[in-house]
Formats: sequence, structure tokens, C-alpha cells
Amino acid sequence: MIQKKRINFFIIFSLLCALPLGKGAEAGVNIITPKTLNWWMQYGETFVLINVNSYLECMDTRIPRSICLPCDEPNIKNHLPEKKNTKVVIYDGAINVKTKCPLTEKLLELGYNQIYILQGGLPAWKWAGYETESVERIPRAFVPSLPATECEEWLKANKNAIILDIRPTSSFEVKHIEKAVNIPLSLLHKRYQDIPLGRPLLVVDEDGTKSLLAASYLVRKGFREISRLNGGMLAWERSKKRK
Amino acid sequence: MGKIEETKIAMKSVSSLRIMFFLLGLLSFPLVAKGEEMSCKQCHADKIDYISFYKSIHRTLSCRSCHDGVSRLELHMQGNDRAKEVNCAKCHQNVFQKYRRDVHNVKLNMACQDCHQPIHALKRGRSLSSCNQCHPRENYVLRGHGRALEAGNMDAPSCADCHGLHNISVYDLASEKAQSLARETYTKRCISCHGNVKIAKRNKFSTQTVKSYYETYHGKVLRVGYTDKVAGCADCHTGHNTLPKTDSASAIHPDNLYHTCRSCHPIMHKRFVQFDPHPNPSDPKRSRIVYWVNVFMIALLTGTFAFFWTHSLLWWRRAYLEKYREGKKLIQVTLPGEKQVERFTFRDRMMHVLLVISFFILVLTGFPIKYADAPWAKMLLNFWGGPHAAGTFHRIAAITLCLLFLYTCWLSFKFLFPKGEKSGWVKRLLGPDSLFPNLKDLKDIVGMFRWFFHRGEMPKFDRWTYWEKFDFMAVFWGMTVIGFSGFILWFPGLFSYLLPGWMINVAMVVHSEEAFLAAIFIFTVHFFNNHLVPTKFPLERNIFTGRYPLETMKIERPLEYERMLAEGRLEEIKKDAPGIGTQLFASLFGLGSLILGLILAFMIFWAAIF
Repeated sequence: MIQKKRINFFIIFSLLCALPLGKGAEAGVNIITPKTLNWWMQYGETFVLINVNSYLECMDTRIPRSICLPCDEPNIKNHLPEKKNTKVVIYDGAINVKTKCPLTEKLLELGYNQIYILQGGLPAWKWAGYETESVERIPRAFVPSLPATECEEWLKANKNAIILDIRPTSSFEVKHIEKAVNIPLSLLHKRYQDIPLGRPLLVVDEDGTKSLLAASYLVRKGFREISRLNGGMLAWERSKKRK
Repeated sequence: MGKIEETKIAMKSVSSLRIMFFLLGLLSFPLVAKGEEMSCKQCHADKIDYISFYKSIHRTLSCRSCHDGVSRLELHMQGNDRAKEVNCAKCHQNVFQKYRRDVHNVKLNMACQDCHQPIHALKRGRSLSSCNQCHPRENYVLRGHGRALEAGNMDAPSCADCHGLHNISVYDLASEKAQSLARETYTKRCISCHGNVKIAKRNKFSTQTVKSYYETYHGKVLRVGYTDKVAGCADCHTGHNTLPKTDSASAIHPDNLYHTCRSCHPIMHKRFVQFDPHPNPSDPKRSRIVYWVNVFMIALLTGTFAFFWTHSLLWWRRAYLEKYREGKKLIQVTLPGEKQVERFTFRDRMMHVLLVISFFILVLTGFPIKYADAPWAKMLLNFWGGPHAAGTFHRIAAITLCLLFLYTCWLSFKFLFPKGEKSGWVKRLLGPDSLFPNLKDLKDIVGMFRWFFHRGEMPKFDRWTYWEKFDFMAVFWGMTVIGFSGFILWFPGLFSYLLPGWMINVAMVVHSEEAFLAAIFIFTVHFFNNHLVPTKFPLERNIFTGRYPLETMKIERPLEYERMLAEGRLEEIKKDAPGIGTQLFASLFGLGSLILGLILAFMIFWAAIF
């Protein structure tokens, strides 16, 4: 009986020890700080810098030397270096270190073994005071930002309004405001013509950081009466909880 | 001509040339600038309203001051040699340094010209009105403070007063930590005006608002830096909709209060809103019950300390005289091989050790909240691993103490009704082995005071003295009051189903004052009576060793000795002297506790007085 217990213990212990090995898929993914990345740039380190934000965001503001390769880009091979041991640094616009972008997995599958994620993404880079560039900047328009608590009132007053959710489809499918339509920011420049002109628009994003860019882009494309949800879906859900 | 003179002449001619070139450059500059603008205007006239530009704050600048980088006009005109991105930081370095960490830059990638629109017609003072372009007046400005500002009240804050101008903090909405940071920052901003006496006088509002907030659990915990789970100003008053409670749109209007409180306290009864978040225990008009509870607690504290500190002082004087002037030997040491008598069982001693530990934890974790602005408050909380961890330790120690109390109640019950024996409990209750006060204790108090003034002998005590009984009985009062109020503060929402909301205010007063009473009583009176009195100084170890010499028993508790002798039970309680390990533990733990307690008493007095 005691021996059986010992065997069980040994099996469980071995399984527990083996658990970290399951993370082997992330073996080639490292974190790089803005400071180190800046050093690399200063001292001529060879690497490829990829901005995984949407095309609009990347062209608007990015770290110099970046290439724009959105997360949902299907064909990434043509944009990547041939040597698999080339250092690849990817970054997005999020403050969180871990990016949900599937590009990391794709790079690993393709055999790239030196992948770096920029800690804190573009905001951290800017926070540190390093240079950015704008290839095709979208001038920001004055777009009213509605507090989540006022949103329902606004929707009642604007019954023919379109709620434009610019989050990725996967997030939209999990939860969205009733009657919202989804055009991810990464596809907005291709699909903005699907949005009918002449109706009030409420642009909704994840946390209120992307809707201004999307709204400004739409203003350039002739849309009027645009508002955006201050704080995005996070604020919306929080206001719902408070009720 | 010497070399020096030659050099001087050469220098003079160079200087003259320099001045000549400088004057030439100065005279020709408007022509160049004008010419440059003329060439820019030829192509860019439709993009810029030059009339507005010449009235703008940048009218003295040329196009190339901002749009530099064009080396060849022909190429530029063909679209091949584009101007560099405008870098406002060239001139506005200070603003840029601040702005690089502003939320509009970090998260929204907004450039200067996005707010300062139209950039070519910029005038001084337009930037604030730009806020309203994205943050609509009806949602942010035309309420509360904004309304007052528009009405001409220059004390009322503009956007920048609360948020900053080019240094608006970045708070990640998804992060709890960022939320608590925002709470801390904005509450401080509110307090900077609402705690300002001059502003308060001018605008006829009370500075008590801030003071009373600081007296609440919310305020105290926020002050020590634990902003995660307490309410800052905006949590109740909201960020922009800060209206008086008489306004039906206000979050603190009686009709909306339940909804407001419930956003943080999801489990609560409607009567929870009777809680006063800005209580003033010294103002009977605001809350009569809290006022009278406070008066009672102050009277209790004053009475207790007045009696016992006087008692201790007189006792110290008398004992000192006896010990040092009259040379009376009060403490007998155990001779080698001599038997001792058992005063406390192993169970009693372990209970006391647990009591000491949990009591210290409660004091060390609770008092940093009570005296949140004391210099040691934050240091103590950091010792526990932050306010959250300190709160956890406080609750664990509280539960330990409650269990000890319940166990003591059970032991008391067993003492009164041994083996289910119902008769004779009054005799046992008032008997010599009981810790319940009786008539003899009253006589002993009088006797002690007579002894203090040399008007009689020191009373003869039995097993328990009156001050020991007080210590024991005080626990029943203290634990009931402090324990019950503590549970109300721990689960305010749940208790609102049983009690009115203002009971939370009562619980705050009672818990705080009773904690002070308990801690200071233990660290001064209890320590003096049992350890610091000259006859026992520096430490009475028998509460930890459980035993003491027979000779000491004869002096300190002669009635018990005589009773034991008469009943023939003396041999029963005679035991071997405690082992070296027990003695070492008793000394270290006892002295350690004593020193820690005295330090804490000093810290508490320091915080209470200054």
C-alpha cells in the first residue's frame, strides 16, 4: 500500500516537474526594454523591428526603422529576413507586456528563434522619451468623447446612430454593445465605405485609446457627427457593473 | 611694432568685419524671410490663412522656422524633397519634456497641433477651450465646478487644475493598480482646494469636510497609501458631476445614494446609506448618537486612566520607599533544590503567549491606520508587506483573540458549573479562586490607598488581586466592544441588514477609542502592576514559567498560602523549579514583549500628542 502511494507520488512529482517543459513553445520569446532597444539602434545591432498594430496606427506613429506587419496579416513570409537567427523585435500599442498577437506563434513556427517583445510597447517607448516617426500621420479631429454613463442617453437621442466597434472580431464576439457593428481597426481603411454616410457614429474600442485615431480617419473620409466612447468597452462594462 | 600690437590690430579688423557682416545680415533678413514666404505662399496659399497667421502668436516666425529640411526648392516643388516633421520641441523644450509622459501623447499619439488648432492661427489662451472640443461641455464642464467657473468663480477649477496641462497622468483602465493611483492623485487634488482655509472661507464651505473624511476608514487607509479598496472623493461625488446633494442629478442626492454606495458595497441593505462619510463626533448637531458615544468613550478613557495612573504612581512611590529606604526585602529568590508553587498551568501560559502575540499584531497593524499621518505609520505597514497584508494579519490576529475569548468563556462556565454541578455557582463566583470581583476587593482598594499614604499595612491578598481581576474583567468588556465593532467594520454591508448605517460610525469611534484604551492600559498600567513596580522590576516571569517561590507566595498572597495550608493542598501545588529552557524563554519573550510594548506606547503617545 505504502509502495503504491510512493509510486503515485513519484508520478505526480514527475508530472509537476515536467510542467514547465510545456512552455517550450515560448522558448525563443524574450522581453526587451525600450532602453536596450535604443542601445541596439545606437550601436548598429542587426535586427528587424515589427509594428504589429493596424496599418493605420503604424503609419501614424511608429518607432523609426519599423516595418508594419499587423497581427492578422496572412502573408508574413515576404516581409521577414531569410536568416532565421535574425533578431526580431515586435511591439504593439499596448501597455501590457504580453501581446495577444498571434504573430509570435507564426514566427516561432517559421523557425525564428530570437524573438523579442518590446516591454510596454509603443507607449513605453514614448514614455522613455525616444524618437518616433510618422509616415502618414492622421491629423486628429475634435471628436466628442462620451462618458460611458452618458452613452445610453446619447443613443436614445440618436436612434439612427451606428455603433462602430473597432476591436478585433475575437473580442467583439465575446462581448459587445447591443446593435454594434464590427469593423476591426486593421480593416477600417479597406472597409470604411461599408459605413453609411449621414448617420451619427459612435466609435467603440477596447479602452478608449484607439477610437480617436479611427474617428479622425473617418472624419478625413467625410464622415460627420462622430463621437467616441470614453474608456471604450472597459468603461462601458464598468458603468454597467455600477448600475 | 611688436607682435602683440600686430595681433591687436588683426583682431580689431576681424571684429569690424564681423560687425559689418552681422549688420548686413540683419538688414537683409526681412528680405530673405519675406522672399522665402513669398515662395511658400505661391504653392501653399490655399492651406494657410495668412491674415490669421500674421495675427497669431507665431507671426514673427518664418515658414522654415518650423518646416525645415527642404534643401532644394526645385526638388521640393516636384514633391521629392519634403520638409521634416514639425518639431515644436525645438522652442518648447520644457513643455515637450512634460508632454512626453502625458496620456494624450503616450496613449493617443496626439501631437501639439491636434489640440492647438488651427496651428497657424494660434493665439494665447486657446488651449483650454480645446479640451471641450473632445470632452463636451455638457458632459464635463456645465456641471459642478465647471458651472461655477463659467459663472465667474475664479476659485473653481478648470480642466488643468485637476488634470494638469501637459502632464496628464497615464492610467491604464484595465489595471487595478492604475485605478488606485488615479484615486490617490485626484483625491489629493480635491483636498488641495477643499482643505484650503482661505478658499473655504471665500466659497463658504467647511474645511471639516476634509478633516472628517480623514477620520473615516476610507480617509485613514487612503492616507497610508492603500488606495485599492477605499473610496476617494470621486468615488462618491463622481469625477465631473460634482453637484451638491440637494441637486437631484448629484450622486450623493438621497435618491441616488443607495446606487452610489452599492457600486463598491454590492451586498448592503438600503439603511446602509444612513452611514455618514464625513462624521464629526464632536458636533452633536450632525450626529447626536455618535457625539454621545464619543463623549462616553472619552469619559471611560479619562476615568480609567485617571484612576489607574494615580494608583500606579502612588504604588510606585510607596514600593520605592519600602524597597530602597526601608531596605525591606520583598522578593525571595529560590534556593537550589527548593520547590516552587504552581500559579499557572501550561494551558494558561500558552493562552497568555497567544494573547500577547495576537495583541501585538493587532496593535502593530491597527494603529498605523488610526494614526495614519504618524511618521511611523507607513513604515510599520511596509514591515507587514503593505497595508493589504497588514489588514490580513489584523484579521487573523482578531480571530485568534476571539477564539481565545470564547475559550475563556467556556473555561469560566466550566469553573462555575464543574461536571454539570448546578448548585453553589454563586459561592464559586464570589469565592477566592474566582476572578470575579467581590466585596473584599473593594476593601483591598481602600486598604491599598491607606497603605500608599502610610496609614496602614498593605492588604493581604488571596489568589487574585483586584487589579488582576480588573485586567481579566476588562477583557470581557473590551472584547465584546472592540470585537463587535471590528466585525461591523469588517462587514459593513452585511451588518446593514441588522443595524442602521450610522452604527458603522459608532463602530468606528468605539473601535478606535477602545483600541487606544486597551493598548495604553496594557502598556502602562498592566506592565507597571505586573512588571515595572519596584518589587517586581524588571520582569515578573511566573506568567511564562507558571511557578514562583513559596516565599514570594507567602509575601504576595498570604491568604492563599494560609488557605492552601489549612486545606492541606499546599503539597499539591508544589512543583520543581522551571527548567533552564523555560526560564530562558520566559525572560526573552517577557522582556521582549515589555520593551516592544513600551516602545509602542511611546509611539502612540507621540502620534496622539503631536
